[in-house]
Amino acid sequence: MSEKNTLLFGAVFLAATGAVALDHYTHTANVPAIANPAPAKRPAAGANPCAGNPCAANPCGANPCGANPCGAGYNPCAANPCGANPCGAGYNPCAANPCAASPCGANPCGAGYNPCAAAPCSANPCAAYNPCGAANPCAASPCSPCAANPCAAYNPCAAAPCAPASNPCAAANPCAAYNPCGAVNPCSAY
Amino acid sequence: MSETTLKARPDVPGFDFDKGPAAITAVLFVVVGIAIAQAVDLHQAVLYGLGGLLGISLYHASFGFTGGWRRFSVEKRGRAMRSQLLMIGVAAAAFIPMLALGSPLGNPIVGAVAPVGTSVLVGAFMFGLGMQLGGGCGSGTLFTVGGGSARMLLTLAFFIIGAVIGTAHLPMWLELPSLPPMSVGREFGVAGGLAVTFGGLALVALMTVIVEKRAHGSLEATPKAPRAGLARLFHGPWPLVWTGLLLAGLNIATLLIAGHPWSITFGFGLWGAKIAQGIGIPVETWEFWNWAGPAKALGNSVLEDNTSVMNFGIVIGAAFAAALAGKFAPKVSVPMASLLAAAIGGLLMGYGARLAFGCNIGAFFSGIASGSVHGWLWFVLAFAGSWVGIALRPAFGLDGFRK
Repeated sequence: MSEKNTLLFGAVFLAATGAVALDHYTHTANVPAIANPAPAKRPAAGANPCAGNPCAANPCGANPCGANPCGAGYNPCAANPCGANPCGAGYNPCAANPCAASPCGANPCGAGYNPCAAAPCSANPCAAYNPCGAANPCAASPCSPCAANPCAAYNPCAAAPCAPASNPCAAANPCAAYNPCGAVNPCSAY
Repeated sequence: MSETTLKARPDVPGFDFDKGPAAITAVLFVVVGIAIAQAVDLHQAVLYGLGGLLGISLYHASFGFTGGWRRFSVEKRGRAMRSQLLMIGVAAAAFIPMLALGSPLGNPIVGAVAPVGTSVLVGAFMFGLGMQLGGGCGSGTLFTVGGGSARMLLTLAFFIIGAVIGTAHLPMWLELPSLPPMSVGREFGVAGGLAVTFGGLALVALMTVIVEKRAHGSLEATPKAPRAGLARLFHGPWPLVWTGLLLAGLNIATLLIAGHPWSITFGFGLWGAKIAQGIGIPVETWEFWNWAGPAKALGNSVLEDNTSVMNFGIVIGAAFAAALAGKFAPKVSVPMASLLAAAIGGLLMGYGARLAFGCNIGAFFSGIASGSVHGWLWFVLAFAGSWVGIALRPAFGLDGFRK
């Protein structure tokens, strides 16, 4: 092993390690570390803490959001939620993890399935590869509760998507598995 | 550097390995794994471990697509290509039925199925050309960097730059004509999909056999290994066929654990985007990085990205294998023309992989194994690009069709 190469690879390794550490710190430092966090406000039984919010049963109904909490890209709250079609290439609602790093590479639904279209299931390409199993997101009632919920913590199709146990509006966002809004809390405005 | 000799049997030669680098890379591998488990979770650490096994396997067998394709194109020897086809076939035998089940172990899985369009045509051709100039494909670049190749470090740097530029342009490319994603498993059912995939792979293998027999009269015999037993396990070279089967098994494990097949180049684009952000380029405003998946990856720690942690594992695993083989970082001086080829090749591969929905791993290996038609299109166009790349290599002082 030459000394020059040892120095080169040592420097690259140190730079890469530093960059990864900095990136990790930067992206985890966004979550405030509270020594004695106040107990989370729990909604009264039966009440919907997210009333009039994008997590409601029909997020694409009326536009409940004054300001768009979801940023560019996919905005279920916009007047025209399909202005920027998230289903074009990069967003695959049928994937195991629709927010996975490379949803384009593994999109079984492709161009055929568009949840934002007037007739999202006119051609249902998801039938064969339906991660919901019994409940088909392309079915006539795509928002009926999924028997097998592929969305884990956050299920926009559930009858009570904002139930305390899986409340995407909580301070610490439990929507990791399926969170179309990313780190932003869509319910913060309410 | 101190060296240690290990003898497996008295009648076969042992091997020398670099004790220091082997110990350092082994400790490093474990420390990074623990750090990932602590920083993220055990799931990511397991994926990193899978990457490590992939890196060791790739290095010890020198399992590169670039060299195998070049050897077939130039020397008309198809042994390496047939190993690749066998590997894909074995993976397909598991992928296609498991994908049809949807959730074989309870967690949903999804295959590497992508649209069949203009972007794949152009991107795969660029990738094939680039891999001959760069001297390695997606996996080849990673494992040779791990092995200490300074030239491939440059290829990787430009691979990353090309991938970021690709993310800027991909939405525009996707406006061009394209067919939707097509999977033979979905179109023909599990049995039909397997039959079509096996038939296609067998046909290509048969073509390599015919070409090789016409050129040489017979198929190349597997060379006798200089070592056996433990000495061969630690030092290499590992047999191509068995390594191909091992890689297929590791890809199947990746599918079950990560929920998607093995892929490499998304990580490169992500690393580049994060670096670009760091120097003030607002990639977060680009359309690609506002799609849900990429946006999430860009907003999260790189350690939460499956592809990235597997890539880290491949590099460190290959470094460990190189130290065991006593071959880590052989030399640093490379001719300027060769460095230029590495840079151009890296750029073409990065850009091409983004357009083509993956590289030799994400599109060719995982794509065909998933039954995706885009994988086959990728293969044809990348092979054509590779042919042109081989023809261009002499312009950079590298071996082409003539030595």
